[in-house]
Amino acid sequence: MKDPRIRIFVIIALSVAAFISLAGAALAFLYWICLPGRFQCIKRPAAILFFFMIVVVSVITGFTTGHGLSYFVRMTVILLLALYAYTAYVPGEFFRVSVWLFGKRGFDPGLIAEMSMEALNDLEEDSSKIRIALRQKGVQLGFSTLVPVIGMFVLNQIRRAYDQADLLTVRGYRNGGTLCPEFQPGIMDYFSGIVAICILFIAIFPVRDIFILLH
Amino acid sequence: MALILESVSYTRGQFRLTANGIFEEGVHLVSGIVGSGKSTLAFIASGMVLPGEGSVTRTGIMNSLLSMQFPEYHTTGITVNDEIRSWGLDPGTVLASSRLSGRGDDDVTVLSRGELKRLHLGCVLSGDADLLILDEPFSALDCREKRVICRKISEQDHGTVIICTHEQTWLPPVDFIWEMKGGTLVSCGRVPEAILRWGLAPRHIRDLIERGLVPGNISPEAVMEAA
Repeated sequence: MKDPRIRIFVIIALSVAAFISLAGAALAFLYWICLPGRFQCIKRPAAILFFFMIVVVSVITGFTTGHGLSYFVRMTVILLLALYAYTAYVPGEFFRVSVWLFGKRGFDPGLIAEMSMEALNDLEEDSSKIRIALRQKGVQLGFSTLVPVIGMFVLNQIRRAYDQADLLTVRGYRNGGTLCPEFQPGIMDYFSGIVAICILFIAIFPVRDIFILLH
Repeated sequence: MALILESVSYTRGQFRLTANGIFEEGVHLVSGIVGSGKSTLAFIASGMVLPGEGSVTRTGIMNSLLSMQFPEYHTTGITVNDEIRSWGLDPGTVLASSRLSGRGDDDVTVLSRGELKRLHLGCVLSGDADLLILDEPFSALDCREKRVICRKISEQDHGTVIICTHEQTWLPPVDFIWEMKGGTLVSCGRVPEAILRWGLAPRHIRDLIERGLVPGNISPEAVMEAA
């Protein structure tokens, strides 16, 4: 999907579909299977961490409400969709989509969204570099090393925030701005969007309900 | 003792790095513009990143160390003394050589980027790694500190030292020069002959060559002597 507007819409629609019903989750999973680069996105170290968190919450939910399996399936599909969205993201997309959606009012939220995505990328980069440094020292990540490591994560982010603020000030930014976003959706983008709408529709109105209505 | 890169290639997005070459014992300079792939080469050479294709072989190298550009990544201690000890070194010696005497009990987070870099390089250059890879060792340092680091690098008495940098003025005496050109590692050969083949040579060295004066090495002292 080249058009970020449709991609973001598809991700939101499929996530909602997966969240509200098991049928929606199953169809959203089938959709995810057809996406390009789907397996590349699950190789990220953060994916394992999030998956582990889902497993833990599912077990607790299973014991307390009995719907653990349903929760596990639905949240896993949402996680897969989120990972795909993160991998497929191209810098500047949120900015363009925000301005397209909200006009001039979308400039600042778009800028904040872009900075947040950049911060996430930086965290991922920092984390891989710190792992290399620890491996070189032969140090295991434990309580004694966790404090300075997390401290450095935070400090790095604060330093970058200062640098970004300086850069924006030097360039004369106060608030708002002008951006003329352009998009070139292809035929596959439209097709993907329509399929996602169908899945969302099926999740909201189960097929058997439609046949009952027709009957 | 040698590091051998054989038909190495690494791809990330649109960027592709290719490298072929043997890094013998001595000091190697890998020069290149920002974004040319020097850091990626450093990670591959250190074994911390595996190449997509090709092989990285070490002969006679028992231990290696990669110094990353940003010293924060290496920090695992809470105080300066803790950090030095985490490298298996004596704080007294490193503090003195890094000109941070009396600051051993300071929290590492209160050090400026330049001080942290000094501390980090002080630790790295006090070690005895057979293969030492320094990625942008001169970043965040002033001229005086760059000169000190150059002297410390030239005092390394064994092993292979690879310096990946875009620094143009403060460089230590080196034995070999390499260039990263469009993602490809190119050997210029052994110094001083390599200086003539060094396409990314700093302006002051190129000016000398144009005047028919070839410096014996690339350090400021050698260049001054030739001039």
